[in-house]
Amino acid sequence: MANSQSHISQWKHNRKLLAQVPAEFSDWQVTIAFYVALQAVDALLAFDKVTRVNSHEARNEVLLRTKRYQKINEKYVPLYDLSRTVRYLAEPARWIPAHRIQKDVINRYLRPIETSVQTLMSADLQLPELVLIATSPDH
Amino acid sequence: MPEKDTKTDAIRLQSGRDDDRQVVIHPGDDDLFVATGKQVIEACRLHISVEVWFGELNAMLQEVRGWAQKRPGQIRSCFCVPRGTRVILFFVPTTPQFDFDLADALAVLNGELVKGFNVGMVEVRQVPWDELDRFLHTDRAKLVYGEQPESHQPVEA
Repeated sequence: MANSQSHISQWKHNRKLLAQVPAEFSDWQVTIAFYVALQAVDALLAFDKVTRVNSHEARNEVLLRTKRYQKINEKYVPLYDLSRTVRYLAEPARWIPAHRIQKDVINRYLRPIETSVQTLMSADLQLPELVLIATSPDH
Repeated sequence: MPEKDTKTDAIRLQSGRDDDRQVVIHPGDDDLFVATGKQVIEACRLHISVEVWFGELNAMLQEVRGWAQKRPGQIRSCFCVPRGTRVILFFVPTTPQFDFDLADALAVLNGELVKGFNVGMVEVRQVPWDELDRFLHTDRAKLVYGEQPESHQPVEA
């Protein structure tokens, strides 16, 4: 199992990509946002020495059944759900309009997950604010 | 010497080979249940009989139905589908868009269901009505609440 530091590097790496994805690929913004969250969660699980988390199913179960992760879980579950759905839709922008991603995906789900992970690891990673490439509200 | 019943062969479920095999159980009343082979094996692992597992599942679905009935403005339909060792609950919102408030409530419900009912892992999903057949066979899924769409052949994601 990779150590916490490796997951933190990948977390930052995915964040960098997310900030560069053009607004017209809003479905992929959601998917990448989920993988930012996943690396953050895996960093915490590695920090907590939680082993054998080798699938979405196993990760979801650990988050769901562990009180320490309750706050994270309540943000992670909708983000997981949204990313799993949006990638298969024929009209993803109808399901999740581009102009809602910053407010409702990043600020509502991803940011609190990142904050909780850092709090639980007693770490301040000095992550820059995540601002997506802007889109007009009619998209 | 007791007579051996040669007419009845043992029903064998083998982990791996029968994971996705559909198991149809007739508990005696008019209801019938469909589970995956993996779920039946999981019920044994949870140290409960399959019958008790189905009892837990039924109680959980009743809870979900009640929960959905309190949100008629938000939920159009809810379906239950067994998949692997998981029970997946698909909720269709009344809106054509992902409902963020519903998603938050579903995350809380998810935690309550997993802790409150001994059925193994439960997953909640929100899917759009127009593309429902991308995610489940509505004619095979158990309708827990709301409207049943017309039957289509799914192209599952």
